Amino acid sequence: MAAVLLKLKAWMTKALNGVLIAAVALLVVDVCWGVFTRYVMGEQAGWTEELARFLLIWVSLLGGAVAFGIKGHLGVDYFVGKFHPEAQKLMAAAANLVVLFFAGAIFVYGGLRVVSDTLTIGQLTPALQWKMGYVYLALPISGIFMVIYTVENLVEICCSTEGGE
Amino acid sequence: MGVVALVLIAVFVVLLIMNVPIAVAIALATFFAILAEGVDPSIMVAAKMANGVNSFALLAIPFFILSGHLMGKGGLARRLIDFAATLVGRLPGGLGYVNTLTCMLFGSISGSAAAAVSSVGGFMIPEMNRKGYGNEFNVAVTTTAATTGLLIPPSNIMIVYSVAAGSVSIAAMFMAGFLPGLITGLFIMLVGGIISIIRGYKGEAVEMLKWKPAAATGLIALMIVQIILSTRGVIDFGFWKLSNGMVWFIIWSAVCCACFITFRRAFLTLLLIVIVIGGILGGIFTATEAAAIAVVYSFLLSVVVYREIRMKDVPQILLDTGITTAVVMLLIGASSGMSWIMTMANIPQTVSAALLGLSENPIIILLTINLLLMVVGTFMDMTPAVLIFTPIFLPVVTQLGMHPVHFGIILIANLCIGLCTPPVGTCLFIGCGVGKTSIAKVTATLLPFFGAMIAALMVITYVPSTSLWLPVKTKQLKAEDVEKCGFMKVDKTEAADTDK
Repeated sequence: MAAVLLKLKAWMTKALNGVLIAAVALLVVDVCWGVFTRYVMGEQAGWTEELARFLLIWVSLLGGAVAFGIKGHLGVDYFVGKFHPEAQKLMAAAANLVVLFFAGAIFVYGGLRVVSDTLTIGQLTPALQWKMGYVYLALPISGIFMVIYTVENLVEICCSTEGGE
Repeated sequence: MGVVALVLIAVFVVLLIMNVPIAVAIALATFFAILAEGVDPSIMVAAKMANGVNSFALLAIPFFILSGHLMGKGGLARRLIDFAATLVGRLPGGLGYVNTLTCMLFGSISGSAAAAVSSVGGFMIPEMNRKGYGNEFNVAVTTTAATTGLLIPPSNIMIVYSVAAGSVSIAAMFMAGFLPGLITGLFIMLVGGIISIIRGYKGEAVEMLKWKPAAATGLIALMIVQIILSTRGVIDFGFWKLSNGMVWFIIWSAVCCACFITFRRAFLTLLLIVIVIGGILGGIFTATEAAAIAVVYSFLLSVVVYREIRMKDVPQILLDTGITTAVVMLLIGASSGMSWIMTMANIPQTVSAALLGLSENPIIILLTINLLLMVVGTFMDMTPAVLIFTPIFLPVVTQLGMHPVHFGIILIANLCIGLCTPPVGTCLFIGCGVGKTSIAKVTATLLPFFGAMIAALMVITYVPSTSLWLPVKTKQLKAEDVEKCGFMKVDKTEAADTDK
C-alpha cells in the first residue's frame, strides 16, 4: 500500500514538474513572440500579454505547491532553532497543520468559490475571450497539491518521531 | 489600534515564530483580520493570491531568474574574474578589488547575491587563500560585496519594490540603483584596500591581451550600439550634428575601443547588461520584454556559443526557475491582500503618526526607520521584508518629501546589510560554507565592512541625488517631479530664510 502511494506521489511530482517546465519555457517564447510581432510584423498580437499573465498565475501557484513539497518556502527559523529538539518536532508538525489549513481554507475552498463565482458572472478575458473562471482553476488545483505535499510532510515528521523513540 | 490591526499583527508574529512559511503567515494573518471584521475571508484572500500576480511587470522576475541561472552555470564567474583582474588585479591588495568588482558584476547579471557568493567565492576565496590573503578577510569581502549586485541593475528586488509601492517605474528604479551600488562597492573596496595595505597583501600581474583584432571588432560592435542609442534618442552623442559631431565621435569611439580591449574576455557577457538597460532606456522594450530577450541571449551564449550548459540540463534549470519564481510570487500575492487590509485598518497612518510624533526632524525619522529595517533585516529575508514594510513606511517618507524611488533604494541598500549579518544572513551562511569557516570567526573581520555598508547607506539616505540624478538624466523621471520632493532640501531653504 505504502509502496503504491509512494509511486503515485513520485509520478505526480514528475507530472507537476513537467507542467512547470513547459509553462516556463512557453512564457519565454510567448513574450519574445510579442516583441517579434511588434517589431517585424508592425503590430503586436494582443493575446501575448494576456497569455503571459495567465501563465504566470499558473506557474506561481503550481510552483508554490511544488515548493511546499521540497520545503523551499522562506521562513524565519531563528526562533524555532532555540527550542529543544522534541519541541522543534512538535512545532514543525504544528506549522504543517497551519499550512494545511491555509491550503484547504484559502486555496481549495476559497479558490473553488472564486472559480464558481467568476463562471457565474461569465467574465471573459479581453483578448483571448477565455472564461476567466478557468484561469482561476489554478487556485483549487494547486491547493489540492499543497494539501497532498503537506500531509506527506506531516507523515514524515510523525514517522521520524516514532523512529527516534 | 483597532481589533483588525491587532489580529493581523498577532497572527503574523505568532506564525513567524513558529517558522511557518512567510507567505502562509501573511495570507493567514490577512485571513483572520478580515474574519475579525465579520466578513467571510476565504474568497477575498484567494482572489488576491491569484490577482496579486496577474501582472505583466512581474513577469520580468522569472525571466531575470532564468537568465541568471543560465549565465551563472555557464562559467560566468571565471570570465568576469579575468576581466576584473585586468582592471585592478595589479594594485596592492588587488585580489580583494578583483573579488569585489566581480561580485558587483556577477550580482548585476545574475540578480542573486547568494549565487554571487557561491560562484565568485567558490573561485576567489581558495585563490586568495593561496596568495596569502586571510581566509576570514576573503569571506568577509565576498559576502558584503555580493549584496551590491542587488542595487546594480537589472535587479529583481527592485521589481518587487515597484510593485509593492504602486506607481513606481521599474526603469527609474534600475537607473537609480547604479550610483548607490557603485558607492557601496567603492566603500567596500576602500575598507578592503586599507586592511590589505596594513596586512601587506599583494596584487598580481596579468598578461597583456592581443589588441589589434580585438580593437577592430570592438569598434564595429560599439559603433552599432552607439547608432542605435543615438537614433533612439537615449543619449545625444552629438555625431548626428555634423558641425561638432566628429570630435565627439572620435573620442567616444576611442573610449569604446579601449574598453573593448580590456573587456574582450567578458565582452559578450557584459553585453547582456547593455542590451537590457539600453533596450529599456531606448524604449525598445519594456522591462519584462528586456528580461525575456536576456533569457534568449544568455541561452544562446551559454548553450550555443560557450557550450557550458548541455541541452539536457535545461529542463532542470527551467524547473528551478519555476520554483524560485513561485516562492517570490506567492509572497507577492499574499502581500497584496495584506497591504489592502493594512490600509483598511489604518496601520500606515498609525505608524506614521507615531514616527512623526517622535521627532519633527526628517534626519532623525529616517535614522529610526533605517535602524528598524536593519533589525528586521537581520532575521528576515529581503523579499518579504520589502513587501511588508514598503506599504508601512512609504506613506511616512513621502510625507517627509522623499521621492518613492529614493526610498526604494534606501530600503534595498539597508536590507542588503541584513543579508550578511548573523543570526540569519543568507549571504553570510553561504560565504562561511564556501570559505569553510564559522560565523563566529568571521564576525570580527566583517565589522569594518559593515561600517562601510552603513556609511554607504547614510550617504544614499541623506544625499538624495545619489539615487535621483541618473534617472532624471536618462529621462526616466521628470525633473520637476524630483524638484517637488523636499527631503533634505528643507534645511537649505530654512537656512536661507533665517539669513534674510
